[in-house]
Amino acid sequence: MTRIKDALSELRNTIIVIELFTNLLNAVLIFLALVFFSSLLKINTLYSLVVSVVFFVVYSAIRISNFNYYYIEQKFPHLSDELRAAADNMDESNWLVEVLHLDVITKLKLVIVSRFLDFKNIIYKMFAISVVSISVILIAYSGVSLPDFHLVLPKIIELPKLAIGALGGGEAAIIRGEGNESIYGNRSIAYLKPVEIKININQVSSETDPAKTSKAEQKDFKSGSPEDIQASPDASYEEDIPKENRKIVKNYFDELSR
Amino acid sequence: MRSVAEVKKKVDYLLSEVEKVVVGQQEMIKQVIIALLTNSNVLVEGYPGLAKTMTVKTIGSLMDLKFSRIQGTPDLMPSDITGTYIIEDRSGKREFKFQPGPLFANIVLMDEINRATPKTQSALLEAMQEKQVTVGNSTFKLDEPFFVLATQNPIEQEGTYPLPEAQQDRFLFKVKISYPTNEEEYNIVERFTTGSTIPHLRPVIRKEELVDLQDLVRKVPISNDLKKEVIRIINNTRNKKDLIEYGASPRASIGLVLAAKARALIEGRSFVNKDDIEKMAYPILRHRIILSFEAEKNNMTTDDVIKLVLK
Repeated sequence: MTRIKDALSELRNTIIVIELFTNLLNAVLIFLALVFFSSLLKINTLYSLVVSVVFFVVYSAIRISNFNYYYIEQKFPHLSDELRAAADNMDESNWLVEVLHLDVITKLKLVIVSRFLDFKNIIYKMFAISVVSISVILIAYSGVSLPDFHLVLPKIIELPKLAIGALGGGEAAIIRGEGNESIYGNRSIAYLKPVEIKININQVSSETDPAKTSKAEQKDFKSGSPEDIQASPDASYEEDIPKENRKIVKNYFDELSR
Repeated sequence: MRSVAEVKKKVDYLLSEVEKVVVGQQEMIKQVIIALLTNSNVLVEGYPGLAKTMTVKTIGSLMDLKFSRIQGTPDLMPSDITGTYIIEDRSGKREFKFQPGPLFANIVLMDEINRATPKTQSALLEAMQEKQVTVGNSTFKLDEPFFVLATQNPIEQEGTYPLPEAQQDRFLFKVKISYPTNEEEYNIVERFTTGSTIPHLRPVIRKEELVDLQDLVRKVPISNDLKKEVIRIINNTRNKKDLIEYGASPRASIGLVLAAKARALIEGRSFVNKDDIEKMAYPILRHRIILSFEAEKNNMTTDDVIKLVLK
């Protein structure tokens, strides 16, 4: 009886290891796919790792708990119904069950572990992992990302209005505005939300190519200031702005900051 | 017997010995043997002259079992089959002595059970179920093994008392036998018209061996998945309301598992497989389901419906 228990236990463990390997490949593929989309949408990569780890753990647990010898019998028809009968009657002790156990142990020697590996599927997954990995590296190198839609959307909505304004009143009409629009412009554009903005410098994307650097060139510099530099009053200081507009200019930034 | 091959060899030899007397009807003979191994009873439906009596009588002699035959008639009383007390005069003293009836045998053939009155049918069915007979205040245990093969004629239904479904449920199998093929009928004619005698048969399996085999059948391993499959099949008979008016009872589940185990053993296997379940489902369910009007309207037979239930 111990022999059949050991044999079935070994078989079960082998199948579980193969199952875990297959799930690991799936988890890696899911992780890389999520990293791909995270890079495009500027989302933290940690979420991708968490999702793929959760997937691996949960899916593996489900597959292991649903383990059934029927899966092995499907691959090896000569064990059909016999393997499950042996496994379900391991604690019975009569000569019929002993004969069955001996028969199963003999037939288990014909079980080839490689038959449980779907090589075609594994190759496809490896290929997909390679493709997605290269895509992720390319995105990271080029710094490509999808635009922030919540900022682009109002501009898209205003496009027809701008087009109509351009056709109707020209530039002055756009500047004058209509209705209750303030002379200082649309308040929402100037309003910055009290949100901390994190600016990440993309270290991969750089215009500096270390391979092309060289020593600084030796140059002669003239002493003193250049001859063509001279101070002169700016034209804007002598500009004659009408009195009614001076207040607008003076209070422009105050109005914006309100 | 300590190997499955030995059991198979014994059963094959038994079948070959039966073949010396009975031509054809292989399936009926196999099912009778399976019923014997499961310590159950069989209801055979077939036209007269199809070797039902001869089969049972031959199996009885090959297994060294006491055989008795009861002809079902409308005037058959329960005491005619169970036995009765008679007054015996012993050395001047009169006393009641129990005279056992034909039920006190190992194999009982009840011909045309549907011709016997319900009261007599009940007496037989009590013996089948309880393996005992009650006469007056006394109960008499029947000898082990005890097997009843009851027959029914599908024609000539006038003046009969059809077995109610609840009583039919006590039979493990309902076997339908048909006419022999042309080749088989030729052999029958050749054998029984040329003056050759029926060979003398010697017992192949002793009574004690049969009891051991009956114990062994219950020990044949079956997987839990197949037991669930059996329950699924029986449940299907209760759920298919469009085709089946009344489905099978849990007795059918027990019978199907036991019959599958017996079949596995006589086929030389130490485990039950799906094929055993599917093959045994037909004789197990045939008499346990009642077809709906819809099924009968579409000219479906019980076997057709069982085929759908097995899917």
